[in-house]
Amino acid sequence: MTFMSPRRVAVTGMGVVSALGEGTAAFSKALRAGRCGIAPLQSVDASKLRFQNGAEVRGFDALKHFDAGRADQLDRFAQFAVVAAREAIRQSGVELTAQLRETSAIICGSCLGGQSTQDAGFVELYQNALNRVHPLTIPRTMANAGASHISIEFGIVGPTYAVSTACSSANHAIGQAFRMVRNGEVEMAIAGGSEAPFSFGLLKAWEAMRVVSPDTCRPFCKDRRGMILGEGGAMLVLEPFDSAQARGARIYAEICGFGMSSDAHHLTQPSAEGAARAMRGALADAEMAPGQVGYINAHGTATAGNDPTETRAIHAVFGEHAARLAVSSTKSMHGHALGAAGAIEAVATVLALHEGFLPPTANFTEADPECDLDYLPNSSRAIQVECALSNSFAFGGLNAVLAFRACPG
Amino acid sequence: MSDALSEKVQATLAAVKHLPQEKISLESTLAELGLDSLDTITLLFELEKTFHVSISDDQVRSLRTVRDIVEGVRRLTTGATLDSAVLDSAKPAG
Repeated sequence: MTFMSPRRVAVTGMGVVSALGEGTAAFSKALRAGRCGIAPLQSVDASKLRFQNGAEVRGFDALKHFDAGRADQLDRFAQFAVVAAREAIRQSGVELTAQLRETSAIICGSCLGGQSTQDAGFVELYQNALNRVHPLTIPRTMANAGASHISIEFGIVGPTYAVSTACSSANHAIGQAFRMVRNGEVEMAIAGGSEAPFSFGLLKAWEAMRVVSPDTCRPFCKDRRGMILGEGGAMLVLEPFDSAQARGARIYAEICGFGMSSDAHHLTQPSAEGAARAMRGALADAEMAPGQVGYINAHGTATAGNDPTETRAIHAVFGEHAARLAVSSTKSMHGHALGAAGAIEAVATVLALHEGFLPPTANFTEADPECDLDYLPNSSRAIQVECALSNSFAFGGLNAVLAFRACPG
Repeated sequence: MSDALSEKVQATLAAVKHLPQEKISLESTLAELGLDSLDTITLLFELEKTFHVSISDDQVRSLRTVRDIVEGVRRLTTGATLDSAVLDSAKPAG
């Protein structure tokens, strides 16, 4: 390994598939409009569930993206990963030379892996009384399937792996990739996350947790009733800033900090101190003063526990500046995509910095008295901010925060 | 009032929280018994299974004491519904 001083890191490409559509252009348009992608579930029979709504990727046709043989190998969560990576690489305009393919990393977050595949296998075994499951069950289900398929498709042979830290998976993946590029371990990274949680068995498990809203997702509101599950995938292409500039690449933003912490407290009750420690870590890593931050893409699940805790954490980190910065939860539009959430929200944050608008918190009614920040209710705002954070806080008390700086152009 | 239903609720709670049943009284609050959010959703799950009832998320909200649970389950088993108020602060956060 060569040792060199830390390099600046640029985001040069993005790809996204979510309930707000396929592609960053559709995603950006929906964020600006404050369009909510939450609707009655179509992919599962919700009549036996306590909640009926989700943020599904409507109309996603695997055969539009893969030939039939390849599609057979891919669970939906891995399909989202590959489709997002294709867009990100295309957008970056990077030429994948033999040398770059050897010095590039792929890191993908997923909380659940191939849930639908696993569920279908269990139906065969336990419901249909067959004594066998599909032979591709294991390769479709493994959490690294997305990373592996991206590697195979693009011939990228550098460090490739998956990260699974529940709802922080994608932020941990992107943060690790950022540091590998910054430290000179790789010359490019594709990082993000993907998730496809809409299988009946898994939805029953979420139902039993009693955290899913029976109507919609209203982060930070007095009448919020819980999260809405979402699906999708998003990927970023990260490159050394100088070499991206040298090849004339469009730089969407600089990724400049990553903070991680563990609450060491409770599996499902968040701690403001743990969240604050991760935000402070990201700021310190980015050498960013709190006053430079104009926007935070919040974890903002709309559960009873998260929203006031995250608000307290923001107050603790930003002090008086908390009243001046804008905070939104885009989960109100694309749902909580679990292991993909951080990646989808990183794309939203980078778009905000690149295009000069702040995405809203949709479905906003009346603020919870314990939630007293500017949550950008219902309407996006045309403002160019200098710096932004994107928060992810996971069950298990694992926190991961990314810091970005605008590169207008 | 202690009857078969209340005995069964207390036994379920004792099993979920691994407590001796004699430590549980009708006036005990869930907080005093040390039930956190995960214990609470597990208790609700076990009660639904034991009593063949469905306790909606909204119906969970008024439960503070063991008596609240006993009376709530009693109403559900006789077809009525539980009152609402919140245990939300004790629910998982996601």
